[in-house]
Amino acid sequence: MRNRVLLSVVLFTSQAVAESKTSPLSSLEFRNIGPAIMGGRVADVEGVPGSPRVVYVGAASGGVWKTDDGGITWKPLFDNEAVSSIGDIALEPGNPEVLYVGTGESNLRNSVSFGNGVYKSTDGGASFRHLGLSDTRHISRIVIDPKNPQRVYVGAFGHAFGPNPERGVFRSLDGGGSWEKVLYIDDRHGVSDLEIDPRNPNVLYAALWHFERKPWTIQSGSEGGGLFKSVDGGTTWKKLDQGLPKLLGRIGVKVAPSRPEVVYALAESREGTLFRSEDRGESFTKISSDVGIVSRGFYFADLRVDPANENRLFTLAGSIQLSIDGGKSFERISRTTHGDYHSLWIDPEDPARMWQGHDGGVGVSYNGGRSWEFVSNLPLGQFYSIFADSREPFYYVGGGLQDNATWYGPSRNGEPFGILPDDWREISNGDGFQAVFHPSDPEVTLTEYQGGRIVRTDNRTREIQFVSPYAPTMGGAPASAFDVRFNWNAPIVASPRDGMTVYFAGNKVFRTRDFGSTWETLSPDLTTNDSEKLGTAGGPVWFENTTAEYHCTIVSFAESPADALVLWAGTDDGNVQLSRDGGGRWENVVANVRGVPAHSAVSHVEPSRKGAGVAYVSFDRHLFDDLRPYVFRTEDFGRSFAEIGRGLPDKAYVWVLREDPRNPAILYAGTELGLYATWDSGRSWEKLHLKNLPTVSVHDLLIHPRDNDLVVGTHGRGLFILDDATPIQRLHDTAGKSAHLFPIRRAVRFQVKPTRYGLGDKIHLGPNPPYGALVSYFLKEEVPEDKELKLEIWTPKGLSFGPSRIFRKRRVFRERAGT
Amino acid sequence: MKVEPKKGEEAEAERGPTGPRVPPGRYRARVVMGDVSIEESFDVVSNPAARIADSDLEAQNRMTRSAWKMQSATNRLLQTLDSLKAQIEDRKSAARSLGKTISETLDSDLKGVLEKIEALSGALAMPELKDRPAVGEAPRLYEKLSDLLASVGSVNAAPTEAQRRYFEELNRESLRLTGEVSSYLASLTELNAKLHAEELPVLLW
Repeated sequence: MRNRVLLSVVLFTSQAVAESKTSPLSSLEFRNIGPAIMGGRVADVEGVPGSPRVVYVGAASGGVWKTDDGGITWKPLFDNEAVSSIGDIALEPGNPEVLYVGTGESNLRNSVSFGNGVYKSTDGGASFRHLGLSDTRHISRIVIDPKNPQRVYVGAFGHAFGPNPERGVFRSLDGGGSWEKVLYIDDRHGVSDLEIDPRNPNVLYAALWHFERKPWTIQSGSEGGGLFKSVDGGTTWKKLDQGLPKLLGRIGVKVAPSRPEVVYALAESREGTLFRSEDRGESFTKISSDVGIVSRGFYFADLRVDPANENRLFTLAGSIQLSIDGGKSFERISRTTHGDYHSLWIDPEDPARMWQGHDGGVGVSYNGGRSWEFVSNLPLGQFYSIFADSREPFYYVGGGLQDNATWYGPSRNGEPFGILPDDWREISNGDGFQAVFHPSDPEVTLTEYQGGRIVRTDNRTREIQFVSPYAPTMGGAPASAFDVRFNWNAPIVASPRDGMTVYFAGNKVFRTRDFGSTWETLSPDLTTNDSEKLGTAGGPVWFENTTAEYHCTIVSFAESPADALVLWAGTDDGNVQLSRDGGGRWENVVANVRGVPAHSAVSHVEPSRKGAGVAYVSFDRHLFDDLRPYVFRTEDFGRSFAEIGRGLPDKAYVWVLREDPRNPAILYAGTELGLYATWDSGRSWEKLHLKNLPTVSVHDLLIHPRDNDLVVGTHGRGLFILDDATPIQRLHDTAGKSAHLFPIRRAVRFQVKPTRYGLGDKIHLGPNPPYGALVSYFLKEEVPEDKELKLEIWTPKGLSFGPSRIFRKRRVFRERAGT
Repeated sequence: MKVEPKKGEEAEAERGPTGPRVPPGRYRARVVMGDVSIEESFDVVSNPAARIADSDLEAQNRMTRSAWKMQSATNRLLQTLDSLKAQIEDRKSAARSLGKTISETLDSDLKGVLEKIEALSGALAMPELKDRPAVGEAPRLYEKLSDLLASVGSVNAAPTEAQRRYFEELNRESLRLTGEVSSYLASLTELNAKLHAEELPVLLW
């Protein structure tokens, strides 16, 4: 055993000079610190009949996961595919090594991501092959003929934000090798559910649904859609209308496996919600008008039937409700797990074993639903926004998540095992979004619920105070009913100069200088204030006012780091507003942006450190069915803009831009397809996933001001940290050099001690970085063994540790020194 | 009997410093590649949330460095003894493969050496758990040093009076055992002469 010192080494070597910027950095490693304790939205769960060990999970925006030990541990299977949003998983009956994955979630909420068709694995998920249907975007269901598994049916919704022809029911007769569209109404109706009769697989049921989302509203339902049936394996279809309403929204349809004559339809409808057929769908009888078993029609409307009892059914909605009398009455079950259910798998060989999927992840029951375990080891966090403090010795990081509140926890800790689930604390509830820490007391925070309910929380005393400058609670009425309206995700932004000064934006900008106690109104309405876009969302079936579609609001705000008087506000209806006098006068400069259609949402405004007139602006048009990234730069206070996002991939619409605080030449872009960076002002962009960052949407990112970590908030896979971004920031220092040693950040001397023991394997542990200093260096070429190459560390007294051998290969390492 | 550092998952589960922490201060890192030498300095700082007086820190560092050196020296002795044990087995095996018969005297001497190596190793460090005659055996020098390092290094404070006394005790034990091993190794020249006489490779250490 040789001496070890408090040092760790990051080693990396360059590839050829002409290679990309990211090549020499490619082995720098992101840490996925989770958290998993609150999970994240799951679209589908599929088990293997009679085999409790194997379960697959399809996350709404976090890929496919598999357990082969009954949920003790999980492995991600979709890290390197083109998309991370999952709609449905189907296992081949009798051969669970064969699975089909329909990408693109079909629960079409405001934050839904998209897919690119169907994938197939024949080795239990170890590898996947893309099978096409790339423009279906959202796949609600895949069913496989139990008697002929080469016959596969895909229920595709199609585009959620506009018409397209690749939607409807697709059939393959060769295990996904080729597809034919066998059911299609028009380019605005898609499949919300698809079911196959297990005894007579020539009988299929498909629910056709008209749904379209716009930034300010949704439309759900039509008389043209509804329930359709085929009796010839999908070749021909007829509409089922006996006993069903004419006007129907989203429908879930299920056959009772134990008695396939019984078919249930759970529908978004004004004329009842649950319908039952005793004759394979030829006629239906209304069983229930309980809206609670559907909740929000466009988001739920799904059900399952007990494989062994046609009268025992479960409806999936805001809650799971169980009926044991064929739907006449319901009782809510699973009260201790997260609400908002999208999936339920019931083992046909042991119907007491059930797996549920919901907005908080997955749960399992072994007694028919009487009790449930929440499976809290899947890191599927869907962060909208992240934030960090500067406490010692390690900063805390947190953020707001889709339907999973706002949480914070340590970026690293002194625990030998890593960051524990118990290290994470919820700050405030609801959907969580933006937040800031108090500058001198990080246990005090400003966070928010959806629709601009901003709260100040003392996390020690658990006091939570609503401190909004506008007291009425948003929601329950159209945006037009309020004097001030806030976006679903309203900006809360601290001044870069004074953490007590915080901006909060609705359709107007507000500013506090005392961390939320008092506010001043800093602007007039900065939006188009278009009354056509301030009404109740929904229709023609159901309507809702949840604030998810509140429009004509500010969605991005920033104070220039170069000049405190320069303020930028971007709105969801396409305005880019600039004040150069601290909010006294505002000028809408969007007319100077060429190349982006009017009324496009300004997803982010990022003022530069390079000068008060320099800023970056991204527009997001995906809610108009345009997935193209739009990124612009101005250097003259918005008098002109240059487009700089052309080098980003198609469909990588942009959520966030961040200029690197230590090297303003670098601009990072968090996009729907991942993290990108440019070192040349947008002439070229490079994917910055390096090691460990999977395919996932990146909604927010930050560079920690003290520790210089690159922290990435993903919408589907939690938080990722790249420790010490110096090699990214100082890559230019390597130019023309055969070797280079980067500046080394401080190393903290701290104690490592466990506070837990015997944790077992069913726990998500966020890895800590190696203990000690991170020493990063660059070698242009592989160094031959006969050439001297070593790392020496010298103490303050001039003593040397080492020398240590270091890696000579043309690849990147991170390891401890002195070993 | 070499005490191997933990590897793989076991080490991962105990991510942390694997030796005494260096004191705060400004350090320098230097990469040397042939004629190229690049240097950067960096700071090691104390956890700002845990205060310690400079004098206490110095005392702690002095003891942990010394104990660490003692433990490293102990490990080197163990490695030497392990190597000797392997060489003896190798010589016996070589003799068999060459069709030689080792004399009874030499065979007896070799057996005696192996027994002595076991005894010395057993004084330096505990046998692996599977080789122990019973659970609950007393710790040896190596384990005692590990315990001392852990207890002194787990806090931002100077060693206690009891720890200082214990350190001195272990220092004496270390010196005694080192001397004992060195003396014994010196005595093996006679055995080497016998090996040479029987045309077998001598032992190296």
